[in-house]
Amino acid sequence: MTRPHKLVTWVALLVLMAAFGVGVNRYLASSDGSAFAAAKNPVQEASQLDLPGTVYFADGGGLYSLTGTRVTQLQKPGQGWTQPVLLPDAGGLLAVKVTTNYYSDLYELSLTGAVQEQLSHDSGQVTVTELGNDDWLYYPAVGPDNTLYFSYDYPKGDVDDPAECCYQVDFSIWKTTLGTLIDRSAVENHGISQESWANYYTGGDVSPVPLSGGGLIYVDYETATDNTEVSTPVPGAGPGDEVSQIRMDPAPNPDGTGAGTPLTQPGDDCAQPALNAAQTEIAMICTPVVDGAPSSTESDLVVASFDATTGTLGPLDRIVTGTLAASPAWSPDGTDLIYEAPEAGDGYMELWYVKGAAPPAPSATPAISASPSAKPSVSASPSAKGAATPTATPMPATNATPSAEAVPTPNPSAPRQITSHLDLDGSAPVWASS
Amino acid sequence: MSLGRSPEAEPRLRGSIRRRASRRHPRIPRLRSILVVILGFVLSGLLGALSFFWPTITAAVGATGHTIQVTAPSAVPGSPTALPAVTPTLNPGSQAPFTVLLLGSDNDGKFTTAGATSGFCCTQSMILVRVDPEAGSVTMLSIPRDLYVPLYSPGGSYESPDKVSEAFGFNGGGTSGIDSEISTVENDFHIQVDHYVWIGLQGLINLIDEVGGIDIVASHPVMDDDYPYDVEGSTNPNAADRVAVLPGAQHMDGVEALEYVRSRHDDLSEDIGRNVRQQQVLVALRQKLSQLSVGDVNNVASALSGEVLTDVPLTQFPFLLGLGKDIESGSIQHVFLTQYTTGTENGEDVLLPDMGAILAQVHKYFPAT
Repeated sequence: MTRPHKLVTWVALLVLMAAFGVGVNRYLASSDGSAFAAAKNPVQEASQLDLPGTVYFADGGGLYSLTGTRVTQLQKPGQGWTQPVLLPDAGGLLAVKVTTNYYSDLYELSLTGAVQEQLSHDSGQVTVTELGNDDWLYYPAVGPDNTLYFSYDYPKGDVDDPAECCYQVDFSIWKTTLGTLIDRSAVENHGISQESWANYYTGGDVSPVPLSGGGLIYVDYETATDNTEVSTPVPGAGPGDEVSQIRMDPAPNPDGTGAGTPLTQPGDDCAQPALNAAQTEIAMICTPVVDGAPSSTESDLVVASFDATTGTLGPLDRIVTGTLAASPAWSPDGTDLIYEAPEAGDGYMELWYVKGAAPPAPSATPAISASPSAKPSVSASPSAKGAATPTATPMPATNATPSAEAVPTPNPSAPRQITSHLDLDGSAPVWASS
Repeated sequence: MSLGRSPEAEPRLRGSIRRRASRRHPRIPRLRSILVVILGFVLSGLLGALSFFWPTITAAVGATGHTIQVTAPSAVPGSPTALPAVTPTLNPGSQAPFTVLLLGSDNDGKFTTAGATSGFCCTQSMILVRVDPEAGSVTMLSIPRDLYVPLYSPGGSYESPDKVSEAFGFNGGGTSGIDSEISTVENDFHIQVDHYVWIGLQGLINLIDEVGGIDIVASHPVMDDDYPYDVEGSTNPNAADRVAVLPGAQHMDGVEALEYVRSRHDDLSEDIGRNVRQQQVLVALRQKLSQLSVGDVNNVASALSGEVLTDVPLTQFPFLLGLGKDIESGSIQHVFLTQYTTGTENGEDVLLPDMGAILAQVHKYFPAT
């Protein structure tokens, strides 16, 4: 090879080496970082499953409806909207709007998302000197005769020692008639009644579910190892662990002093109850016991039969396990469930669907089936019923025998993912028939 | 015969001989050339990788420049036993179990003027982590921040009794405060701390945001009407906020996660409740970090820049973060100290420890020195 040829060869090699270095740099830069990709706006992502009716849900402070596979934005994201609830006549929605770090208020909206009325008015201002006048209002629920239940962090302060202001801030459940203005004055002057009195320093009582015959189901929080707080000490629970218990109060005292009847054991740590329209099934979220202690990374979707007249719950049937399930909602016919759980990778909370979570009621409409074009569920789908945790504790019989054997056994399908790349806020969706 | 060659044929002959000679020993220069080319490509590739990881490298150098400067502990005045001198002996890169002290703090520069060397406060979170790579197990032990114990200087000399979290500010915060916390933990609990990780509040927020948030089950409504409003641009160190973290499964961003782990006023179990939540968030964060890909490294490093200090070697980090995925979440043991009574010292509420019972509990999981 001649000297010029050699020179050309070495120059070419040097260029190739430089290109290789740049290539390594670009390859590393293009490595998959999608696990941490930002969530998408729901309208950018079509549903993977064609559900009948309409599902209303909150995501990133916005409100959305899902009809078929199309998502419609009802309220823009970033505005603090959460916890949508369907009005009894299905003609509108209630939703909570949160002003972060200050307060939250209740609004009535049309089904297209237009604000119709502000139902509560916080007394404080958005300033740190006004915190004592601010209140949180969450978990709206409308029962018979337009009775509105909600969780409200009032009264505040140490009830036993009013001078010890401001450290005790627990939710209690309050009741009024839908349309009544909710503000501090109405609360203080008994225009609105307190339905439950929370255990002190536990965070309080949440998730009221009105019963059609009167009365209330709600979730009560207790300190797992404190004998003065918890009705039954929780095996495996450590100091500092809090547990939830679903209770039923058939006729709450007007002064809120009634504690209600426990439907679940503290050791099951159940919360987020959803009652089907026929009031025969309760879907809920319970904490499984892993390695002898309540899990901090998993929550099961559980279904149990329910008899509202006797206040009894059937055995807990853990239909989805091995994931972080949250916020179940029944289909209008009361047989299928949607709920929230993380998808693989990014971990964002998505909507999932379980067909046949409860046996069809005699008058139920035909069971819902996924559209033929629906995509298969993702590989990281949570395990369904077969993996049920054997440690599930049957409900204590209160004053009647469990009614579980009176109804056919449900046969839930494997969970199917409805949405992806969203970031649902953990509040329960609403599944309306139209 | 050569005499008969023409003069024109002579150079051709010499060239032919040279070519033949070069053919006779071609391998050495060719091999050298090949090696040079390979070396060139390797160097070029390394340079490409180096330029990609440069933000991480600079952040790492800033975060890992400090190693533990704790000398032999001295006896507490009135203490029944003097403690033996302890020097970290972990062989870097080994699979031997190691102990890391995780310190969470806002650095408390909010209580100081610019450039001040005093006025720092305390650590908000102290968690001892024992990682056993071979056994595939992790133990987390939370030290209550109000535990009233003897404090020690980085030099191992006894200073005074106070809340264990005060050792950080007692010695000016920063790396000196970290050394003092390590010295205090080693002396009071009779264990060896091999490494530390200190992270500021903003660093925790940035890290959780960078990994796209974490997924946890909020154990109960976490309510607080006196939550410190001291991050994200607050200029008033004593300002308060209202916090309401609703119960149930949630995907939390950095600010929400910080509120969840930091709030303590409306918790019957007070600091223990907060310790439980802190360990819960650490497990969730570890789970998320186990998905870390090469493409995320620079972003994570940038998020932590200036907000983290550590001396954990690169060889140990995968075990600590769960990157090796050899340690499942179910293999993580959670330990909380409850062997104390409440009391008042110098006008402040403190936790008065039963050290005998505490040491027995600690040494179940952490080797005694």
